[in-house]
Amino acid sequence: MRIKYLRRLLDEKKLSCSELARETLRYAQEQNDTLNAFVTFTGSLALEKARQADERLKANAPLGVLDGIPMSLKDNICTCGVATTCCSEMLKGFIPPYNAHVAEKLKGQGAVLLGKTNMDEFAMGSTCATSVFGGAKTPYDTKCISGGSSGGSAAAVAAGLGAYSIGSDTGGSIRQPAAFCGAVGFKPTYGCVSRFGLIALAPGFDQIGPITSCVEDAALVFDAINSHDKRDERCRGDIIREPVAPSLAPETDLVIGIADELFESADNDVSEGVMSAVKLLEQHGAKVKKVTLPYVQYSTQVYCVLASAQISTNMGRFDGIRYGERSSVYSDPDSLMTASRTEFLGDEVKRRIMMGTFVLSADGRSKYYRKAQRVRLAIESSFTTALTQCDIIISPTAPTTAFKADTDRDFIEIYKSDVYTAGVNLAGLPAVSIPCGFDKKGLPIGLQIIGRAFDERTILAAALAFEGLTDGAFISKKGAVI
Amino acid sequence: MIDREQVRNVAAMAHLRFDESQMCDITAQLDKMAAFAHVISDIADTLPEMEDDTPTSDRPSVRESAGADPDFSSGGFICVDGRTVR
Repeated sequence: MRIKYLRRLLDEKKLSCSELARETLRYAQEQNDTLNAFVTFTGSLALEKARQADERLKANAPLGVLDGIPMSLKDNICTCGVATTCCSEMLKGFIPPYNAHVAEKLKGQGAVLLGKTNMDEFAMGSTCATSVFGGAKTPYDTKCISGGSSGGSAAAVAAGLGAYSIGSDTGGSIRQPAAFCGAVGFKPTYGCVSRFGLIALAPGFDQIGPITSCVEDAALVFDAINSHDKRDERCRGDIIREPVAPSLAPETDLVIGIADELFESADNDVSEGVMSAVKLLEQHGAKVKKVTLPYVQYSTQVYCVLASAQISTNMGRFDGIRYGERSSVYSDPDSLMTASRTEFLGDEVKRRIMMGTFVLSADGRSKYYRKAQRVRLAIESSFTTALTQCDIIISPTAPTTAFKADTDRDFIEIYKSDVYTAGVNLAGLPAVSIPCGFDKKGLPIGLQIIGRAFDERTILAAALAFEGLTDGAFISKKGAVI
Repeated sequence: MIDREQVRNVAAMAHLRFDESQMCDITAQLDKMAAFAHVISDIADTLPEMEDDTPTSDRPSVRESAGADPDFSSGGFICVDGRTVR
């Protein structure tokens, strides 16, 4: 389900926005029994928005590229009047009184919201399995996880349940599920897209971005949400924001950096798939250069300490008083907070809060927190140095492809699935994951392209080149309805 | 090695409660996480010391003013005499 293709059908009146919304909704609801990609459907709202888009079309009003196009939002993005639960018992039934910046921007451009998508509880996880609604599944094998935390968004897009979805990425939460589901997942530079109205995980690393079925769509949606917003104090107001999509062209005249550190522990199928893609780009004019990224192999550990620290303070507000469900078993305000948090937060969330509280304690602070901060700076510096020697860095998005949902994996092993993505968040850089092949089981392999800060254009141009050279062979064709 | 008493203190600070069997599990898990993260300790020792690596929101002057802003990113925690209160 590509945006430009849908746009043409709508503009040429071969299809109405209402027909498109109705059919996509019907298909999404039918597929949701197996994929579990959506946790809330907004059927009547979607049909009303589609009807309004049809009226604009009928009146020959100038329509934006996203007008009348069906899409979804991750369930941690606030939507006025529509439940936003972060897939947690703590926020079950929470209906925000306002829209997130990105929701408002897309609404203003005529987006047709089909619903809210599944995710790991409070975005803490890489499997989507910590969702209180149960995990989403990859459309390539519904016995396998979708990845996470934006698993529902990736599964929805890959299965054709809407043209695009908006996710959030703190350590790889857009790119890793996109890789597992065969979609394009794009994390812009930290500070590009406003997080106002995003229920934060770790505000020092969180960034919002699109999941789409092709690279061109990623650029279109990025342009739609990339604007300065004073309500997010980390949203940069001192950069020039030019639309990427109108002038995006495939680019292979690039120096590609390859770092051994970003291939360590990758499955053979994954490494081979990514290196085949690099060879293809090389055959078409790219130069390949070995670079080193010292300390980047410790990204997961550094991320584990620093993100947990931010989580422990950030989650303080969910106490049954200011936010969240309130326990009925308490005797004083202190016991109310403890009882509410104990009753309504899930195991993974509690584990990370505990870790974060520990690393910020007097003992943990010097042993872990301060040291992790130092290594984080070294990781950032590694990327900066490497990106002076090359234009982009290519790596696998994750060391494996999607794995079975019932696999009894240790939580540390699951944390390690972010090993190639977390460093990018620690350095605040932009990166995109695109499908580049399939493993022996037929599951999609994700290739990650990392670029310099605020140089989204170059990574998308390289991604577009690969997509063109392979004639879109790896774009998900699972269940496209149009 | 993280012991159960440390975990009990951390749980109290985090406003979480664990029964005895859960306490055993969470202690083992925290210990495992700490062991996993410990590798960065040796690495960090080879790197230059930072002047002030405390995040802005965690500095005492900022923390003390946090109470004025209910949406402050620390969740409204205020540090008083070294203790975290609301």
